[in-house]
Amino acid sequence: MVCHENKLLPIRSTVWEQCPFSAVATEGNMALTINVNGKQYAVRSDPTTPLLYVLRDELHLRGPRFGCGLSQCGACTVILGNTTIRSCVTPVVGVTTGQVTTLEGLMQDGKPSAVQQAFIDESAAQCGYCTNGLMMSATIFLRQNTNPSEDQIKQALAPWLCRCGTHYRVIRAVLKAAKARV
Amino acid sequence: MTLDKGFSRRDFLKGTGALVVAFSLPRFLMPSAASARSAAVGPTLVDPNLIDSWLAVGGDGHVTVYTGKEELGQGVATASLQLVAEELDVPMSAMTLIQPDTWLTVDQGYSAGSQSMKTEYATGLRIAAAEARLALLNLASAKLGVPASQLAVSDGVISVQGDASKSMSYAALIGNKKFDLTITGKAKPKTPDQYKVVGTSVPRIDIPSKILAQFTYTQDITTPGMLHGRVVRPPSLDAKLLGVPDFGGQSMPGVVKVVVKNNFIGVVATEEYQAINAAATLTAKWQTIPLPDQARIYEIIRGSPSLTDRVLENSGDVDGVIKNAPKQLQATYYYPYQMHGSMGASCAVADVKANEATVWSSTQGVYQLRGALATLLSMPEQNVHVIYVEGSGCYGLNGADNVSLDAALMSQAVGKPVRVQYMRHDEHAWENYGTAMVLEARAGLDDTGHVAAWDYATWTASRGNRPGPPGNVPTGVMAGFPEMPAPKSPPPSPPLGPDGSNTVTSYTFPSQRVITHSVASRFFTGPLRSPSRIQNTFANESFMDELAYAVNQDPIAFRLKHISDPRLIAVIEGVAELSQWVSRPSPQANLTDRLLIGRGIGAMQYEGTGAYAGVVAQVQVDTKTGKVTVQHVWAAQDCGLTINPDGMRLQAEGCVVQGVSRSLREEVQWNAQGITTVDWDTYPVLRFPDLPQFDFRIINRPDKPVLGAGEVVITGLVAAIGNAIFDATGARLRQAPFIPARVRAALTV
Repeated sequence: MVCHENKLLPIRSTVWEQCPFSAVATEGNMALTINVNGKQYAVRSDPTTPLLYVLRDELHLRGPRFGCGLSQCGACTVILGNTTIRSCVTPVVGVTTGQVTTLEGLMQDGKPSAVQQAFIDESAAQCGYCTNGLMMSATIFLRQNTNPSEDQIKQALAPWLCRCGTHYRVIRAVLKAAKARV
Repeated sequence: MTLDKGFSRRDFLKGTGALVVAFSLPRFLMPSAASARSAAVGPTLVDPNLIDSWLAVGGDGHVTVYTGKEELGQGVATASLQLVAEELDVPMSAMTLIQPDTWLTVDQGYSAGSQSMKTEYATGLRIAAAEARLALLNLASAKLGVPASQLAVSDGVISVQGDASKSMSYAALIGNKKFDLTITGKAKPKTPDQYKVVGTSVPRIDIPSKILAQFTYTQDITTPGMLHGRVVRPPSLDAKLLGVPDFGGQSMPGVVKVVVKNNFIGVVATEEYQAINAAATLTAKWQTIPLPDQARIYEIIRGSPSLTDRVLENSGDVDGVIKNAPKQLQATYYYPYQMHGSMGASCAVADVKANEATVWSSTQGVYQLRGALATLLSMPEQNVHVIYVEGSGCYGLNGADNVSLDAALMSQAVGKPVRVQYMRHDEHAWENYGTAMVLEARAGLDDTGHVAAWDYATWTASRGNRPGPPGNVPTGVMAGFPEMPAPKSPPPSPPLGPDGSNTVTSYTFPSQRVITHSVASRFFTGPLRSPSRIQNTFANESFMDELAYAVNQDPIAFRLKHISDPRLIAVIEGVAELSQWVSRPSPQANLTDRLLIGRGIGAMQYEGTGAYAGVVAQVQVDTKTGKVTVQHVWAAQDCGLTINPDGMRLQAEGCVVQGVSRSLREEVQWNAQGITTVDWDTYPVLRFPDLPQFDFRIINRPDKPVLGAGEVVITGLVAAIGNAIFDATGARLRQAPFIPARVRAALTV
C-alpha cells in the first residue's frame, strides 16, 4: 500500500511526504489504540480508515481538516513523532505505535505555542481553513532550522496550499516564531 | 448551545418591550451547532427598520450585534464591529457579532460583490448603531435631567460633560431590554474627523480562535443522530441516469440509504468514511452527451447563437470613424473557465423533518438559499431555517450553496440530520465556474495619437447563477428543477450604459460601441472574484497597451490622455511612483537575452462605480522555456474611506496571490466525458516559492463613501502581467492563463 495512491480516483498524486509505513495489517477488526496529544484512545473505526476521520469524528478534534483527501493540500496535516504526515491518506493502523500531535496539541499549559502566537500576532489567516497545515509544518520546520531565511521558509512551505493568499503574513509569522524560540 | 429557560432571540424580538430577564444575550445567541428550538417556524420578518433587529445591550453591558452580511474569511466581521464600536463608543471587546441567520438577522442580500462594508456603512450597522446611540442619549438625558447635548459617551457609559459623577451605563439604561424604536434617519452618525476606531487596523476578531483550533467551521457542525452523506455525480451535468445504481453485489457497511432523485444520487451512511467508500463503490449507468472539444471552445463560444444581446454604448459613427482613422487596430482576447478552488471542500448539515428544516450552510445569502431550499423541499419558506456558519474561503459562488441542497435532499430522504462534505473532485468538477469569455476589441487612433473610436464586444458562456431557484446550481438541475431561461435581449436603442462589469472602460472616448452577448455553456458558471470584470479588464487594459505601442507611447502616459476622473489618475500616478515606473514605450530595448524583464500596468475603476486601483507587475520571462515569473507587484488603491487598513491590505495580498495564480496557471480543462481538472495536481495554484514581492499604497479618502476592497487589485492584475510580458519580450499574450506553451507560441509569431 502506498500513501499517495487514492482508490477513489485514477489520478496520480504528488508525493510530498514519505509514507510513514510500508505495509499495514488489515486482517480483522482488531481493537486499535492511538496516542493523540499525549492521551491514549481506543479506535472504533476500521483499521484502514484514514486517521483524519478518526481524529475528527471519533476524537472530535477540529485542527486537522479535510481539504482534498489526496495528500495534495495539507489542510489535514498532523505531526507523527517528529515529522508531519497527511492524515487524510494515512490509515489509522499506521500510527498505532507513534505519538500523534494535532493543532490542539501544540498548546502548552493552555497557552499558544510560539508558532501559534506568531500567527495570531501577524494576523496570518483569512478563512483559516488551511492554516492548520501551515502551522504544523512550520512547527516541525523550526525544529530542524532554528534560524531560517525567507527563501528557506518558502521552500519548506511549498507543499502546503493557501487559497486566500495569506502567504506574506505566514512567512512573517514563521520568521517571528523562529526569533521567539531562540 | 442551550437556550436559557426557553428564551430565544425570536421571543425577544416578538416581546412586548417588557423587561426580559434571566438570560445573557451573547451567551445564548452564538449560532453554533445547536438545534434547541421552541417552535418550528421562524419569524415572518426580521424588520430592518427596528433598532432591535440590529443590536441588543445585555445586562452586563455587552453588546450583541446582528448582521445580514456573512464573514467569509475576508474580515467583514471585524470591520462591521468597528463601525458599531465607533458609533456606540463601546470597546470591541464588549461586543459579539451574530452571523446571518434567517431567524435572527435582517435580510441584507448576498454577501457578495465587495458590497458588505459599503452596505454596512451606508445603510446597515453604522446607521442602526447611530440610532441606538441617540436613543441611549435621550434615555440618559431624561434620567439625569441634563440635555443630551451636554452628555458624553465613553466605553458604554454616558456621563455629564464636566461632571463625571453624574453618569449612567448603557447596561443600566437598557440592559436586557428592547429599544422598541424605529430607525428614523434622524440620528447623525459621527463624522470621519471624530473617528477613533474606524480607520485603524483593529486585529481580526476571528483569527485567534482559528489559530487555536477553537473556531467552528461548517465542517465542524454536528447534531445528535447525524449521519454522513456523499454525492455520486454523473460524468457531466447533462447526463441522464439509466437504471438503478448499485454496489455491484458488494455489501457496504454502514450504508443507510442510496438517495436517488431524477439524476441526483447521494449515499447516506452511519460513519463518514463508510459514506466515502460507498459513494466510491456505487456504480451508476449514465447516458451522456459528449462535451465540446476544448481545443475549439473559444471558436464555439464565438459562434454560438447569442441568447441575450445588450448594447451598452453606441455613441457616434463608430464604424465610420474607425474606417477613416489614420491608424486602426483590432485584437481578440480569450479568458478560460476558472475555479474558486476553495481549500476546504464544501460542506453543509441539514436536519429536515416532516414540515420544517434547519440547514447550517456557508452560503453567501441565507435568505436566498432559504428560498431555494423551500422549493427543493416543498415547504413554506418560513419553515426553513438557514444558519450561516463560516466555511473555507469561497471568493464567490463555490460549492457552499450546492452542497446545502445535497444535504437537504439526503436528510429529507432519510428523515435524519445529514452532514455532506464534498470530495475534492466533487468541488473541482461541479462548482459554478468563473465564465469563459471571448472579447473582441477594435479601435481607430487619430493623428494626435488619441483613440477616436472604440468598438468592443464580448461573448460570455454562462449557465446558472446563485440561488434563487434551485435550478441555478447543479444539484437543483440534477434533482429535476428547471433552469432559468436566458433573459430576453433589451432593445438596442437607447443603449443601456455601463453594466457594472467593467465591460465599458474607465476611459473617455469620443465615440464608442460596446455590446455583450451571452451564449450557452455546458458547465455551470457563477460569480468568481471579479466576475466578468477581470475578463473585461484583461481585454480592455491589454488593448490600451496595444494602442499605446501602436503610437509608440509610454503605456501610462497614453492612458492618462484618456482619463478625466481625478481619482483614477491618482491611483495610476500613485502606483507609478510606488513602482518607480520609468516612462518609455514598450517593449524594453534589449530583446536578445534568454531571461527578459519587463513591467506592465493595469488600472480601472472597479465596476465603473466602485473602488479604484492601479496595478503594476514586473515579470521575468524565460524565452527558452516560456516560463513567466512575476517578481514584483505594486498597487495603489482608493476605496474612499478606509475602515481597517490592515484588513484592506490583507484583501489586496489575497488579490495578488490569487491573481498571479489565475494569470499564469489556472484553466478548467475537460475531455469529451467530463472535467479533467479534478484536484490540485491537475488544477495547480500558486505556491509559496512563487510569491512575488508586493508593495501597496492606500489612498484614503475619509470624505468619500466606503467602497468595496475585496477584488479591485486582482481586476487589473491579469492585464498588468500580460502587458509586462509584452514589455519584456515584445510578444503579446491574448489568451489567459499565460502558460509556457502560449508564451513560447507568442514569442515565435
